[in-house]
Amino acid sequence: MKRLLLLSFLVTVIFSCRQISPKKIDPNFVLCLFNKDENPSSLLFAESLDDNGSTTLQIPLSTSRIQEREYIYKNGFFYRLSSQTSVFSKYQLQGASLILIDSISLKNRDFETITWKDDSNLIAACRENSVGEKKQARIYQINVEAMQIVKENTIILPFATKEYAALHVGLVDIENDDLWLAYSYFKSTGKYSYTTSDTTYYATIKYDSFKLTDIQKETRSTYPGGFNIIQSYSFKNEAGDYYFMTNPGIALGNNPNLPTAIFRKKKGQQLVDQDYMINISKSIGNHAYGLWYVGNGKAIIRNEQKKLYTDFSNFHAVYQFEYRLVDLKSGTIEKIPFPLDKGTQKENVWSDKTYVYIAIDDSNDEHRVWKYNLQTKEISKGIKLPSTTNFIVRMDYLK
Amino acid sequence: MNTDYQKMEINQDILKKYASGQCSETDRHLVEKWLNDDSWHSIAESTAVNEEVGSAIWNKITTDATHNHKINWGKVTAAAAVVFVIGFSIFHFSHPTLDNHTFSNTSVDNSKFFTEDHYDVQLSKNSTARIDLINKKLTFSGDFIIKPKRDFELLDNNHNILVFKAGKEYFVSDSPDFGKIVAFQKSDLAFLPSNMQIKIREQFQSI
Repeated sequence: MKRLLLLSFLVTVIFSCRQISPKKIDPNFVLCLFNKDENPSSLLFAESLDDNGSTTLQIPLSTSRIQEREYIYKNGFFYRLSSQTSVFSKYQLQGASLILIDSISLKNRDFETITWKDDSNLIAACRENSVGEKKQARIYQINVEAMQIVKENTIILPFATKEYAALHVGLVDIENDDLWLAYSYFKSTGKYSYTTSDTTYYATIKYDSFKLTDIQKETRSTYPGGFNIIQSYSFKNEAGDYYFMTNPGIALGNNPNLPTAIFRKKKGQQLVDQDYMINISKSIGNHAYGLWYVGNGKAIIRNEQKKLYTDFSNFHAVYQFEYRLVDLKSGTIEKIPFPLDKGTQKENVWSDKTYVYIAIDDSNDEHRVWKYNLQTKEISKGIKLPSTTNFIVRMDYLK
Repeated sequence: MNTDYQKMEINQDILKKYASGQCSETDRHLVEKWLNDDSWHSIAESTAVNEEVGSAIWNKITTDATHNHKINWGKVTAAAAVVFVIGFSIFHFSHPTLDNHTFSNTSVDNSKFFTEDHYDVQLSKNSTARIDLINKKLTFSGDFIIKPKRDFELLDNNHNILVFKAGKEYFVSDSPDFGKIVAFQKSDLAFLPSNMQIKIREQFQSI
């Protein structure tokens, strides 16, 4: 691999000796591609998701490391936390290059879940090593304009047991002066495997003092949210109501007897609505992972099909994933007739409220954005990605 | 943020020396650190390659090629002979015979790296592996990452054929957590549950 890197470096040095002006492009979208044959991952910038021959620009990233897709995009900048160095970095696309703008050091190596307090302030929750039996989450508020840590603190979260002792902080929300975290506990069941306990906890914390003020227990489902830099599990609708998903299926919580479900916390309330639950598993007979709002009270979910995979050896590689439209008011769930997709977790759904655009890697080895008309319910083809693509793992709107 | 290797200029000469094993211990350490850096800026600033770049270079090559109208067959024959001799030598000397090695890592904390003629292998803690390219057999316990330098196939403990291709990187494990013996390509690991990925990363920093 190193020799391959060396070779590609030498080729690059030779190529860069020639002065060639890069394409002029005003991209509206960026797609992150995992490429075939362990070639470096790449970012593909596109002006449009429609199949109209508009300009695209592909930038190879340094390596094919598995964390290349774990970045945050906001208002013209890319942000990334290095799991090797704990350095949080800010990049910008200039011409055809990603330029490092600034970086700061954090104490943690992974963000488990993030949200934006406002356009300039990122709130990130990380799990911390526990001290004794007390489980801790570390919260950062980072002003990304100044690239400074505004606030950071450790919060001790109750209800770990001797058996279920590892913390999963899956959702974070902030409203006024209250910080809200959803979490659960899991235990190892093997060298790599684990299972999550039956309970979810919702903690309300005074943000100025980081004092825990309330804990709500949830037994209807478990494993709230997940690593939302990899895939979205929550959103706020036009009214400011917060909707989120729990993920007990084998790819996340691995407590598959409990249902995948959508829950709601209404604007101005700190408690999750106990009268509201959309039981996805009961409706479709499968678990789902990923929740995206597409406007007008509708959301997209991405579900597995247990009849098509055997275990983790092929879970990610079989063409099994379907996309469905959920009516958040009535709870009805409608399948969209797209080709089946592969890849366990993806951030690949965007909507302009007329169409839903979803990037799919189908069984014909075609890698394409598909469109669903929310009015007519017709599907059509969008932009086709290069045949060198193996998985489209992200699709972000840049404007 | 300035890391050691950014202060030191990583240039073609150092990389050539590194590739041929002739650089100093300090330089080797810095180059390896550079190769292991997972930040985007390590390449992105200078390596934006788009289709235009590729096609411009291709056009230059084809233009140059079409300019050579007169063919001197004597020179062509001499050149072909030189290419043949070099090619034969490379083939002859760079393909040592197939081998059979046993690796063991008894450490309970760290992984262990081995480099061989036909592959590099990194064994996780408490793992052993016997890689027999002669009889195409793999016997192992625990897990390892293997980077083949040539294509080969191995029959695993459960009589499944595992296919390894040169230039790729595989995570091989007999952990019952995956359902059966697996040989995941590195990029496939990105689709395992996050908690599993973290556990694998703890053992193999370079993925």
